[in-house]
Amino acid sequence: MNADQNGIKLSIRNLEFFYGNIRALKGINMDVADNRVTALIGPSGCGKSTLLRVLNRMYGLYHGQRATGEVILDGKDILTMRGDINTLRAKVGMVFQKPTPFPMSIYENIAFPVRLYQRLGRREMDEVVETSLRRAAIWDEVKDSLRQSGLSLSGGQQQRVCIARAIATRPEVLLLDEPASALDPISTDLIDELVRELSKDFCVLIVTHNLQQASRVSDRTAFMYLGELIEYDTTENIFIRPANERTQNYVMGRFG
Amino acid sequence: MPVQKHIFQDIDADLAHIESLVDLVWGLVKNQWQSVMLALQTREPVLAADTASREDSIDDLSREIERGTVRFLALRQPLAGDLRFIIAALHISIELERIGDYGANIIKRSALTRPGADAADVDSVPKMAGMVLQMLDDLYQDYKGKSLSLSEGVIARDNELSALYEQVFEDLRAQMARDRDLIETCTELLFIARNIERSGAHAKNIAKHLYCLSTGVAFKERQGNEPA
Repeated sequence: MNADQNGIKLSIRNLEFFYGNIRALKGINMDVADNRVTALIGPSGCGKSTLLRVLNRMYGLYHGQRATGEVILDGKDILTMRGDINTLRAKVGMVFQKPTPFPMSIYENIAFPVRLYQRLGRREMDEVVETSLRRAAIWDEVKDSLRQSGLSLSGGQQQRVCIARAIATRPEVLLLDEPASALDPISTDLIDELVRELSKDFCVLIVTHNLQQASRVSDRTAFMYLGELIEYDTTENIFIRPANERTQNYVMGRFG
Repeated sequence: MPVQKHIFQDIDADLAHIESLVDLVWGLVKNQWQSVMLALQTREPVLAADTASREDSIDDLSREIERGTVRFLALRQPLAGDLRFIIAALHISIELERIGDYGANIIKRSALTRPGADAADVDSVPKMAGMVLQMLDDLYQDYKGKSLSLSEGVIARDNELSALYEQVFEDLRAQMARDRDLIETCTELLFIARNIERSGAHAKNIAKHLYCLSTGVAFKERQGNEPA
């Protein structure tokens, strides 16, 4: 279960999570490497999305949800840190399954969250918007229509704008919760290629039901089942020679 | 329609890597068989170290191709042309490895044959080896050019090779019956001829794999050895 000792961005130790009295995560221990893509796979209800939402304390928005243990990011425990949680959420960006562009122009979709953390002049903001949209591989498609509503784009384009929005605040960690599940195969391929590119600059975690996506895109894969981390290894090992029989049954599609 | 790159670029990188490995193996096997021609035709001594080093390289590359194709199947889930290419690459590398093996074996055995065997057989055996080398060249051209123009001829030539082998076999048997002093040399020549004939059969298999790669349908021999 040990990741590489070099370049660990997130260290998760004895993480437990509860929805009220229900224990949804059980003693999770894993190290997540920087500049790599780590995939979380497992059947519905295994806790993979729950785990993701712990990493930027999304659960704090809801009553009755709590986490114990440690999640160390750059030497600080996310779970017990004091101060502005929104700063954490700028550092740990999230993209959701369903594209969620703001009901604003494409330009404002990127600029709005940036303004929460920085005061930038017009020219500087233009640069941030362009850089983010370029890095999300959508600049060429929208550069002449930045004043149009973000909602006017196709699903795949909306999702890439959401990714641009997430990286505009210069996060260090990018959390992707089934980013392509609502998209067609070509859009999925574009997102997959984008995720590989982004991992050069970010620590990326991706939750996915799509095993093809997990096997293509990720460097390491974690298989979860009923709130436990069952196996965590290189993607090559998980998909060619998994050590655990449950993992093998799941990737082979023999899960009962 | 021009060939387009994959949206997911790692796939192109992986395919190019496997192609380059197959290229390398092909080159090494052809080099091995050029040494076979030297050994049989001109009776020049071939450095054992060169033969062994090529054998080792071919083995290492074949293992790497197997590892790479399994990885590609698992992590890229190829379809259509990509799938056919990966399957063909795996099959072809196995056939090439066998042809390389036979080539090394022939070089070792040819050092044990004495000059003075019947000239007809000394000519036939190098001629057989030359046919295999030509088959390898033709197949490589079709593989790189993604065509089948020469592969069909390779399949026909394997039948000629088999017929020539039968003839050589009978001639060598007759020689041994006539002259006991030639038994040792003729036995080595028999093994050599057999290895060349087997190499031809593996070359024919490569042609069949190229056919399947191109058409998506398994090659089926008819009596005239044209595809069914």
